[in-house]
Amino acid sequence: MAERNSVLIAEEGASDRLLLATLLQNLGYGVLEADNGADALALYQRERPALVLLAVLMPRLDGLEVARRIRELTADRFVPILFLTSAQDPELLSACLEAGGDDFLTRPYNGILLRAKLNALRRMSEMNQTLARQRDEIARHNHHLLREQEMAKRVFDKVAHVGALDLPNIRYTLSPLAVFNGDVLLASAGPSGNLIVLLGDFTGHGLAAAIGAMPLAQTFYSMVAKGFHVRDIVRELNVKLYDILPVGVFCCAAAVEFDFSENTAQVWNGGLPDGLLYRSGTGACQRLLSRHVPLGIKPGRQFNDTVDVFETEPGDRLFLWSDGILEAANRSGAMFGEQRLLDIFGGGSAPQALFDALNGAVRDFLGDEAQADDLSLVEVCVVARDEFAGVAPAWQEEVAAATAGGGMTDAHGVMEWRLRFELEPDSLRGMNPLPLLLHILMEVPGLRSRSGQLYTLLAELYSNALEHGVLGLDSKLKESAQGFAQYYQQRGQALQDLRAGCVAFDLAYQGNDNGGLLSIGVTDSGDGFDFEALLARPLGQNGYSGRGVALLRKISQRMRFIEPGNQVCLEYVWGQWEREPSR
Amino acid sequence: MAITSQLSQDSADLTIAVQGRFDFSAHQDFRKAYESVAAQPQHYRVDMREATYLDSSALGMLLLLRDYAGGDGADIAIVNCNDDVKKILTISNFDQLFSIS
Repeated sequence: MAERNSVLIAEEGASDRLLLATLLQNLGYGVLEADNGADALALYQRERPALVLLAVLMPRLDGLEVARRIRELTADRFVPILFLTSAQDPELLSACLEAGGDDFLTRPYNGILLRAKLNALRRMSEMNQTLARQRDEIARHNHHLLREQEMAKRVFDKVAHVGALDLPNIRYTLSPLAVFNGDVLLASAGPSGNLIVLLGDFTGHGLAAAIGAMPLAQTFYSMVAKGFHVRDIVRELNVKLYDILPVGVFCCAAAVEFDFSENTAQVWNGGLPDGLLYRSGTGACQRLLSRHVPLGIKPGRQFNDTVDVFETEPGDRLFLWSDGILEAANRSGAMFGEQRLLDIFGGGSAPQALFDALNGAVRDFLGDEAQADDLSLVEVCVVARDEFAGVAPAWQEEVAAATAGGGMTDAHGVMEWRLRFELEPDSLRGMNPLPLLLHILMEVPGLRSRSGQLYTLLAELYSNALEHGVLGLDSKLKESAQGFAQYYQQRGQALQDLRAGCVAFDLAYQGNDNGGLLSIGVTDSGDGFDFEALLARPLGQNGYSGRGVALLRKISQRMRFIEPGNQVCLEYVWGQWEREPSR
Repeated sequence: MAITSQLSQDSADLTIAVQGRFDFSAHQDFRKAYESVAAQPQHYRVDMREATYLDSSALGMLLLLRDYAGGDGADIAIVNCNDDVKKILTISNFDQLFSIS
């Protein structure tokens, strides 16, 4: 088809044709001849020669028109076209070049000049072919990269699917390929009914940025499900990233833990732009300051997990964003910036309209839909605990099942075990025993859908044993206006100073596929208290911290204190279980 | 973007000056500026007087320098920062890792 060494000569005059044909044949070219434009075009289409010599004036179709049509036909190949003309008129010559001609041959036709021109054109032709080859190779590579990205995204989505971003009180904007911009948004509810949200921004782009997101997400979801709190979680994430990321690669992140029954939000921000807590009551905003170095930079022993604690009210809204929104630039190169962002909060929008107002403002500023979707922004609305969908049993079961390991999972028949777990001062200071104990309980299939209640029991018993029994704190402080911050500060100090004391868990389980009984006992080294008086008080006024004895009695059975009050026992039954006669 | 460096007479101080945008394109030059020095200086200065902008890859480069210079024991001062540069360093709390002025 495409003859590498064939030339098409389109020229009305026979002697000129003969002369050119001879010259070209001497140079080693095969020759095709036409004496008019229409035949020339037809010949070209049929034979696809490598080179075309065109006279300007020809019958049936003139040279310029032939050139135009040849150009239309061969968009992706370089076919040199030489016009045969002795004209000097610049306008005519320009017209030839514009019609697609590359050069001219003038009479008298000269073999040496012809050869030189053809060589020059061949160089251009080869360059053109190289470019086409490279372009195709680049296109292939691009295609591969896209396929790899799709694969990586699918793997990442599997890890991230356990998340809670679809809860009704969360709204977010996230690019579909956010993970390749280094942005990660995670949210999950824990067994105690808390909600933890994390927005992360890895340095870099592409697969390198996405790779850090995987271990981050896995660790996050696993720890939240086990009942860990935000400080432990960021600490562990930092260690993990420190170990795996190369020096110079890190993750700016902010993590917020919401407790909808105590109405607090704890914020850890390392390197993300300051977030905002919008108060629905007053319309005032508090900044969630970045106080820490981003994740993955400091080794474990230097890591600071200090959080800012905010008291919240249902209706308050907490916003986090990555710097993509601040640095979003419009066509003139101006950046959106923090001031425009803050203006929206002061702009009198209704609280529930703020999220849309933010997105709208960015879209208007950029004038570009696609780019406006390429940033990361999340809004969490504080709700009352019983409105929080993350405490639903179905949700809890899904989360517990996703993180349960092997072990007792396939056990059948009767299962029976006991365990005693004692914590001395160093452990009381340094570890949270609840995730570990919950993990053990989650090994029992029948208990998995009840992780929320079990966590509540363990947490309530532990916090009372530790804070009132061992540390001797007065829970009344928690109920006052300035209460929480002060209480936790006292708690921290007392724990720091603790030299002697102990909290012991006694767990015993008996059960089968249809039901079981879990006994929980917690003993502290304190002096006890007047529990008779406590139990005698009407429900709802018992001065125990948090939800109190009333809740414990609602969830469990046979709750009792043992003289002098530093020991509590209760039982938790699920399904059908026949108790043995009491001994 | 241009990186220049100057070693003191006694080889104890190395000053690296960054001009223009301090971003990913500066990577190789910045690294060469401290790696190509034969002696191991005790004090490093990164002079930002003519730097206009700093992005997260620049922060990464500073961390690489810090690691090269001994990690926690490194003595690195980032000086003559304009407001924008200072703001970026402050958001990431890099004053916990470098002396910034």
